[in-house]
Amino acid sequence: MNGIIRIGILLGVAALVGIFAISRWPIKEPVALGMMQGDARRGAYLARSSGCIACHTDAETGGAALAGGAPLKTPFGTFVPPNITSDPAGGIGSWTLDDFAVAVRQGVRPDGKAYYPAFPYEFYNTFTDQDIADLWTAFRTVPAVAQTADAHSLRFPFSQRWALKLWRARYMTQAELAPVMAQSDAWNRGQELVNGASHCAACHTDRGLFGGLKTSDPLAGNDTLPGGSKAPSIQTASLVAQGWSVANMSYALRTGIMPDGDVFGGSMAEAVAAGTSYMTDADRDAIATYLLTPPGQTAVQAPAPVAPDSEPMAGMVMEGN
Amino acid sequence: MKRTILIGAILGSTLGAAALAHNGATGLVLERMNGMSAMKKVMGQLAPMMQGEIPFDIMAVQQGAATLMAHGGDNMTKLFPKEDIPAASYAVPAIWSEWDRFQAMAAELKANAFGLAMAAPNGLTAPPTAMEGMAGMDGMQGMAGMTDAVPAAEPELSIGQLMGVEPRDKSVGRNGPANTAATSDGTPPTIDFATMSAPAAFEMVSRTCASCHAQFRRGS
Repeated sequence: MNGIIRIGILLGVAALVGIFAISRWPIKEPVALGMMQGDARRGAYLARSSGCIACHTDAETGGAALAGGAPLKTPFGTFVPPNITSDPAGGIGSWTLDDFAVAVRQGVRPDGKAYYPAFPYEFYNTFTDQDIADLWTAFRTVPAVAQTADAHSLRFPFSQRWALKLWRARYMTQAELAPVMAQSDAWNRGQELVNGASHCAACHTDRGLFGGLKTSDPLAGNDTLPGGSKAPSIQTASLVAQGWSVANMSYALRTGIMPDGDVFGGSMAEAVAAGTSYMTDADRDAIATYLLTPPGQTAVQAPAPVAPDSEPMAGMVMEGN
Repeated sequence: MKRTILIGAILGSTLGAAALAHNGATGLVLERMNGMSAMKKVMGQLAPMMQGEIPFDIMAVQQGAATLMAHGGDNMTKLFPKEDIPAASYAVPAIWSEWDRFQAMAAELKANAFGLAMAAPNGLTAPPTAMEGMAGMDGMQGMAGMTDAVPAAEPELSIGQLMGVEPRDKSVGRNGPANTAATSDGTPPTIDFATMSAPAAFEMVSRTCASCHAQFRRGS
């Protein structure tokens, strides 16, 4: 009996030592941007294209810009997007540009702890030093708001922030951009937006039990989005089969209107209203060009002819939106 | 006899197909799905016109707007009595827990559809204001009201608009309305559809669709 207790104590101590060791495990890589100058307008456009404003502003209840977003209900619990205005206490006013760079590109807080991947930093590691300086400058133009967002409310074991370091080691998949000389400028720009800033995969790629992206089947759709919404496949073949072209996709990203006349709902309605509708026509065309070019090819695939009303109630059966 | 069976089979399969197309919905659920389908059809027909891909047809736009109006407002909300949601339906409980909001959106749809009918004669570009008309006398700008003109380019957004500090509504879509300044007593701004391009009014309709779908339609 004593032996069992002793083993139990030993295991407990070992677990505590393990957790302590993990919590001390440094994950931050040093950066030195110093006082790099940024371009506020370029940063504002990037912030808008990256979803910073959509997520960190609670527009529905009339919340101030970047002062904290609407809670995000997920299978892991509820995440609350924090205040990222320059308020020193409630926001990120006490940060340096380097802190900001580490947070955005590496997903690590100034205190060295990890962010939950609900913050899609995995996609932002593609940002250049100049992008970061531009974003920082744009953020500083937004009035500070002295309010602190509520803490996340997560289920055990997801509530254990130290465990995120294990998650990062196993599941973190940082976006990779591979410019292709043979492709058009539009395709390359589209790749940058789709796989980087605009992080389409955050919703349109399925996630595993622990929230890691299933990169083996990218952009194949995800039925369990926060708030019960669904994201369809946006792989080239699926899009082409449903009659998407560069022109009508670009228009949908501006207005929400799909080729069959249905209008995006769910999370995509917000992605358009607070995101892609602010982009330039050239960027929306670029996203469409990238998505509609079959892998390994250089030409956009023409949409399949869709007979009128061949898919009655496409919105209702939740295809194409 | 054979003929009766044949007709019966044809009728049966047609009805079956119709029911299947609507996810097996019946009664009120089917009725509102049919209404949504009718509106979807209008949006699908008008979208290419609003993009300048097919010739602009004022009459078609106004007919479409009339269809949207007929399915908006009270005509829509009366199809949503408070009841258990059948499996075939894509309605969500929020419709009833936030009934005022739902009702307001249905009313907004009707109002914006009416606005679309009003803006239809302007075609793809907003008519020039008196000042612009004067300035454009010696150039091509005087032609801005022509219905077959190419949609104008989007004005560049300010840093404040991009960051969400300033509203974007000053420029609702392309060729936004002339007067959306909020009134001094805080009442919502009047929207002058008569000074708006048809695509701008059309996009106001689609924004209403999107907000309503985002809040009150299951899935996406």
